[in-house]
Amino acid sequence: MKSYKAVVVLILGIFVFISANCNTQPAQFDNDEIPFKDIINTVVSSNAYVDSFLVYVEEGNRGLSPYIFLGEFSQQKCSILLRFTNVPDSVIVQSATLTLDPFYVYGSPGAGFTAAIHEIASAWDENEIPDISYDPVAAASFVVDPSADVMDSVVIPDEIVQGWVDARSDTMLSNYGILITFSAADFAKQYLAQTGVTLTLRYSEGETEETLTHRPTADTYIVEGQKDFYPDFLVSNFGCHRIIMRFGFPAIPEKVVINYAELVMKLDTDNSFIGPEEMQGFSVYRIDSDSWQQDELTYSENDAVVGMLDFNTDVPEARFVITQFVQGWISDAAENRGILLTSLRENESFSRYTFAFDTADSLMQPVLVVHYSLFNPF
Amino acid sequence: MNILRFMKMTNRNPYKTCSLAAAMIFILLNSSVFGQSIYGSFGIGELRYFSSVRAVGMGGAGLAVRDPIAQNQLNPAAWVTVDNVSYGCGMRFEGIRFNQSSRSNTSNHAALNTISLAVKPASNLTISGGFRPHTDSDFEIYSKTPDYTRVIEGSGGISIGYFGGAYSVNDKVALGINYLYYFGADFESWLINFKDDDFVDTASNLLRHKKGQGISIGVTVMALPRLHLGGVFFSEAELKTEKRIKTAAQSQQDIKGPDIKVPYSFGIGFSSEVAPRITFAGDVFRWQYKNLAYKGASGQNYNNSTRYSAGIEVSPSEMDEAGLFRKLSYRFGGYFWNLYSPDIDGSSVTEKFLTAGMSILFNEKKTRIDVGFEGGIRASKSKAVGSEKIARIYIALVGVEKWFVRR
Repeated sequence: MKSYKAVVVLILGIFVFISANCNTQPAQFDNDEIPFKDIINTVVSSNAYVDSFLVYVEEGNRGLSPYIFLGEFSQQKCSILLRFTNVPDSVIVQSATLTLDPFYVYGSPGAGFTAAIHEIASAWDENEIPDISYDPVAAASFVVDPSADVMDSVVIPDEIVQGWVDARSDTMLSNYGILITFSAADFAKQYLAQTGVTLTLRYSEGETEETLTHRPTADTYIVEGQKDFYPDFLVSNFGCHRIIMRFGFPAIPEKVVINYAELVMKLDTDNSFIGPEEMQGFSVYRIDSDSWQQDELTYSENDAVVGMLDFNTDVPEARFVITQFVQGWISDAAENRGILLTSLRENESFSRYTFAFDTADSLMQPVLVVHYSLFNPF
Repeated sequence: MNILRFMKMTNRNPYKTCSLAAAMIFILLNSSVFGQSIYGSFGIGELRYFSSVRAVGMGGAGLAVRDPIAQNQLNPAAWVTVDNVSYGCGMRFEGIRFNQSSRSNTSNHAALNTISLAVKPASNLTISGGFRPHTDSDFEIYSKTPDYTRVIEGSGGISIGYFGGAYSVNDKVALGINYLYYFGADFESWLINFKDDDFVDTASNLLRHKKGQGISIGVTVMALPRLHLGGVFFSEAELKTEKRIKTAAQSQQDIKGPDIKVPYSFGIGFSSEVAPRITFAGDVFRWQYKNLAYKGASGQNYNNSTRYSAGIEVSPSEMDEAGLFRKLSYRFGGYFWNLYSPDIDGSSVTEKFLTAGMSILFNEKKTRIDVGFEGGIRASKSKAVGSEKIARIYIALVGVEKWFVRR
């Protein structure tokens, strides 16, 4: 029976040998040229185009902007509102000078323009669009220098600033701040909202005199002008113009797996204005509401997709990977309510981005490049 | 019971021996992964040709071999020699070493091969049932493109359950007929893994159930006192399919699939006892698979397939007092098979195999352990497709019992 045992050991040994030689490199072929298999799972590329769109203007929250604007550019007149509630209590104001540190100048100014300081007579909130009343008589004025390298300053009358000091201890008094406006200007000057605004206050308290600087506790700017001036397919930082668009997918079957979907927006540079911002980009939001009416429009801010303008291509463009959006629309067509395109720098500059839409050049139109997988087993 | 008798007869500790056998089976099953032959991905899978483990040792030639203990899985007419009640079950172990350019892969596969039972209610009538494999579809394939890697994994196959009878017309001629029930499923996993991380990879699964019916008829003829001829014909079968699809974008979905027309096949063979305890056998089997069709679906081209096999069996001694090695039966053979998978030039991919086998009789020669070995190459003319070195071991326990005899 030793032979019997030997046979068993031999069989066992053969399979242990085979098992020990296992590795993990199965048959491999190039370019899907598999000789014995029908490819039933293919990757297909398809372009989708806008089938409906709307451009609307959103005033936005300028109080959150890191910049404030004074002057006129593109028929938009900008005035500044400032409030200082951090002045000292129970002091005698000797003098107060407001200094504005510029960031950029829009337009091609030949000379400066005169700006006036008005005392505001009504309450305002920087987180809303202010609707103020103010003393029509200018309390002070100054010439806004046309150069972005020159700071602008103006002396604020002592009695106005003293009123702000007194308001700190007397609740019957109000401190609504000041309005800086103008009557005519051929450029607009952009200032840093927080770090660029300084109130230098010289005051006496008893026998001592001191000088302190203060940043505004509230700042914003108001804009006058025709809001929807540009009828183009555009996004703007100042206005602010936003685009709603919806894509149709007639060539893509239902319930396929979307591997990749990229929205490509090519910039019409001839009809755009690019401001001084170093990084210019946009956000794409998925619209949740059936209505595109501005007061009924809702969109999901949690899954926003950001795309930056790339100027290193033949035509500057922004690309957005919105694979998950498209997967949802293909899985359920009723979910395709469109997308909202906004600038990342709303209220921060006069930049205006026009995208070609109604054009014979199809390569310039917004396009959604979709790669999807078909699984079609026989 | 027979095993225990064998152990007692050979003075072996039955528990020790059973433990050894159990350990062996455990190791083999544990090392089993898919057979992973790329040829299994083609058509309805890799065809299996199996008559009996005894025939495996003779290159598979068994159409004309009438065995009193083991059932012939292909030719029902050969059942007429079964003594009263015959049973059998067997396993198949397969190792494949795939070579493609500088790439190679080894995989093992273990599967229950057959179960069968035959009963002889009358001297000239035998009825039998069981099942055997018809095709296997175990594979794993990678395909690389500049943008993504595709991974296709498949497993499953088609089995045949059969029930039929054999009738001995006279001492020379026997006829058999079988009802065949084709059943099985193959599972395929399709993955697309993109190189760009921004792309969403795709995973899709497909499960295809298949079922259908057919018949086979067989005949054995004693042409000369030492020469038997055999023939068998398998009818065309229509396999109904139901496919179950699941992808990332759609939940599980059951859809009727296209019917599969499995064409007819047939074979002839001979066996000749040229000398006492020396038997020659040969088979030729033909599958008309050029007409294999996934109705309205697959555009693949299929070839007709022909398998040529021959072998010899030698049993040195039937004497009880002979030594163990003299009491064993030894078999050697080989086969050449033009598969239905077309090669790059349109001809068939081929298999060339050498086979060997042996049998151990015990329990008063009523029970037998048959072992068959097959080793060979399945190769394409295309280096890109590569070749496979295949080793198979078949093990079966077959025996006869007296179940319906008054004692």
